[in-house]
Amino acid sequence: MRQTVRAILAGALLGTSILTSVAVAAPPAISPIAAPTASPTRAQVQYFLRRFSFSAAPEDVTAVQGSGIAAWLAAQEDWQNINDSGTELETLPTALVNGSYPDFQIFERAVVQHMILTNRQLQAKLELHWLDHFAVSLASVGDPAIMYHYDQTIRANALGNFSTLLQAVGNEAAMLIWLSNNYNSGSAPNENFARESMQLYSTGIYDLNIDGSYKKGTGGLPLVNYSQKDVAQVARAMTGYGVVVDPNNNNPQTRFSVQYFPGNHYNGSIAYFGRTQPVPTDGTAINFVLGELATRSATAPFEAKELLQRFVTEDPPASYISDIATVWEKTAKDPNQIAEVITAIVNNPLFFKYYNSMPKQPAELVIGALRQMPGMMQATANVTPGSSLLYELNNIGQELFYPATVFSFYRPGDVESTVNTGALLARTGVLANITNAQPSGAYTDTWIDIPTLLTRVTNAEGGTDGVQVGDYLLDALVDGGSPKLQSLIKGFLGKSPNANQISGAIWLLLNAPDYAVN
Amino acid sequence: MLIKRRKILGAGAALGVTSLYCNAMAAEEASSNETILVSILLNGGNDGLNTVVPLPQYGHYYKLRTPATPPTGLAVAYDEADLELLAFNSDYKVPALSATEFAFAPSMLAMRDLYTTGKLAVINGVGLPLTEQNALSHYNAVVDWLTGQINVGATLPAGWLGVTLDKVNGGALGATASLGGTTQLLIGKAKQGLVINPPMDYFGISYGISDNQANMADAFKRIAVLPAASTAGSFDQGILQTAVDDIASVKHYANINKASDYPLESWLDYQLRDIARLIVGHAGIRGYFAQIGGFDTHSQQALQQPALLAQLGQSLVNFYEFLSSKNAATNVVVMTMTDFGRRPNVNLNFGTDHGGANVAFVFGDKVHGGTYGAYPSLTHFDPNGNLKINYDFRNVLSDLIYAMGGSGKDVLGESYKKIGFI
Repeated sequence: MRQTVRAILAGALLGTSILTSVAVAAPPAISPIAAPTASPTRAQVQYFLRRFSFSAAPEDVTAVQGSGIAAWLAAQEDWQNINDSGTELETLPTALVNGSYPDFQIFERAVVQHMILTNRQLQAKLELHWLDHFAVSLASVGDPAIMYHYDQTIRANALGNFSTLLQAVGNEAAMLIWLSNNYNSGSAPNENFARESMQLYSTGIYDLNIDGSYKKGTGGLPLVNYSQKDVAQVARAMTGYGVVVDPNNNNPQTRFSVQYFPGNHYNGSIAYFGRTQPVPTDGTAINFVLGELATRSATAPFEAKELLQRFVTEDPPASYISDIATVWEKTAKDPNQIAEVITAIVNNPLFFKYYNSMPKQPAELVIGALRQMPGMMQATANVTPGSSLLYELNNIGQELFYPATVFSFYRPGDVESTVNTGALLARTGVLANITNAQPSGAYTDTWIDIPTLLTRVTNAEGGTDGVQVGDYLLDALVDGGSPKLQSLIKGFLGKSPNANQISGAIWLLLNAPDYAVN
Repeated sequence: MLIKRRKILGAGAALGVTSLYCNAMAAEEASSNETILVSILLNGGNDGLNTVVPLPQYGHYYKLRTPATPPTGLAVAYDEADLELLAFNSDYKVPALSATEFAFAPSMLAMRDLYTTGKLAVINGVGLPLTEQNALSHYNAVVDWLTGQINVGATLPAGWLGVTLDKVNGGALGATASLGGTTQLLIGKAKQGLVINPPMDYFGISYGISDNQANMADAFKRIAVLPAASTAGSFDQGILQTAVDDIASVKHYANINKASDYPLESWLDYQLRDIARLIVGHAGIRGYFAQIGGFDTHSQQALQQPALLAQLGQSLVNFYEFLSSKNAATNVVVMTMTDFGRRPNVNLNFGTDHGGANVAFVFGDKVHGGTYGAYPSLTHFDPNGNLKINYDFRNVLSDLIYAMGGSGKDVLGESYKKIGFI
């Protein structure tokens, strides 16, 4: 198993053992919502919830079947009115005492736990998307309080207006540090943030038609959105900002701030995209630049295509991109633009065509399993870091907040690059650690709560014999499964499966290729 | 025809329960003369100017790399005195204190030692051509290096090394293997390379709990071959089957040589150790990939790059010494590649931004040591203000493809004049 530096450090720095386990409540069922406008099939709901939440237990699938997908979406888009209490995220940032190493894990676990437990599932799924899109590494930022603030900004704007989100992210201390804009000065501009704000965060490299196809110039080569000169000039425009941290201040909320230093701003004419730009010098330059980038003609198809690649299909057809980009443009000024775009994606007649067409992201695979089974998590204070869920996410190739590259863990449209021989064997180990874990074990972070699972099986199937348990697990994890898979799992479980056999069956199903897809 | 990876594997999986590689024990192994290439990606864009410093241009170098108020400890420019011990000439036999042409960065002691052997080629001024429209994008640049193409569109071409080895069966594990994660480099038109997460000793299945582990193992084996219900599931299944099929072989090679005395001082050592074990074990693999990151030094470069370069050199020494001790070094060639070079001038964050021409290293018994290409001028730059290239990166790849028994023209689409380092 790969030994990461973080794991070695964790073992060296922390020698705590778990004294008691604190069971965190299993995810509550989603409450029934207003009258449905459609009657989706069970498979349609399961597919939809895999894409726009971190999957759901069978009871919750039944509830959404009853209320309808549109109603679920509407309720989720009104996220402020969904109770979000009950996770450790509430105790942040006061739990982040002084940015020391253990606080890194406290922060990470709180966010992952939130994704598992929250009822604001659509927001959480878009939070993951934007964390991938605006990938920033905690290793570079080095301060969990700064990353916590960053994550809060992402989450609060995940379903809102894209221009607002882009500008908010651009002003975050985490982003300034990650892309070196915190020392971008007029006398020696740093181009890193300027380049990536265009290439990754807004327009992309190539100028696109509304359907995502390249606009081409003479010679048939794609036209680009910006030149190196534009990058240099945009870098000048965004000079003058700095992140100020008081190392003696242990209050994570007041320890740092983003400040503007007018004397460091570029003092001259700035021209990009073919014209002189009236870049403000009052500290709003980042907003000025990013606000323009958000509304350039290439941004709508670029962002629409990326959303489709992450949520629907790696190779979206031109018509789908065109439909969604058009909605993107129409809602450009709407405060809930992203939510409206998501609705358009789901309501498009092509959406259900892509049932089970993409591999799951590694984090989806793990977080989804814990939501569906149900998974329990130790309180962070009791966790031995060497066995933590974060270590497992690292082993499966997607430890949040440690993106592999500026493209996060995989480039949009290439999630299948996360599927390779080494990764799939590592997956067996990660899933074994989760399914084998016992409550209150000395090295337990997360485990599957079999007693709660059996209660749910009884409620759904009327009992807990091998067939009933098998039916429940197959419905939860693989939409029922093929007849051969059903026969295999039920045969494995036997007539009266005990906890070990049930855990084993869960492990088998979580490793099944049919589980690994969205 | 450009084929997206999944369509290749999907087709393979749809044909039934087949491994992606030739598993037959009678599979051809690499003959004793065939080159084995190890490609190391220095991820992020290594600063070539601070890797190999042109001594005759030192004055310009110092001016470019020294900000107005250089802070102690973060200065990017190396002091001239610090470069003396690592100086070298195109004639590798010239000792350091007599050399006047170039110098390795002060942390690259191991690399200087390798240069003395006459087996290290230092290729100056390598980079992406100006006709690559977005040469300074990490993604575009790396894709170019891995595929040997430029201006790559929406569909990724196959990797140049994968294509070169497409018709080579290799041994039980196939012709290519990555110890650095999935890489386009090893994806050919017909096959995808094996990926092993180091250490290879753990390449296996970790089972869930049950009352009967034999039943568990049997059930897993059967699940791995059940037809998946979707194309994406078939893709996963194809990879899973290959992985399962390859476990025995990987463990076999892991057991042949535990390499317990191999120095493990960096993540690159872990990757190269397993590559060395596969080579020593005659696995028949001809193309390998490894990578290390951290080279995107936009800020505080002095705190990152020197250590990475030291690691690179030491890891190459560790690798070569191990192979030599097992009489397995003769056909092994190591190359480095990186996204792009960096800007000539330092920025105010004591780092450097994306730039142009860079330096590439090729090392091995078959390599003709020395330097190739003049060092780019530090006063006359390309239209973007970056170091001008001498060699299109594909020129370097072309020489390596020929060394592997392939045709540069067939793989890259164009012919390039031989540089001659191998």
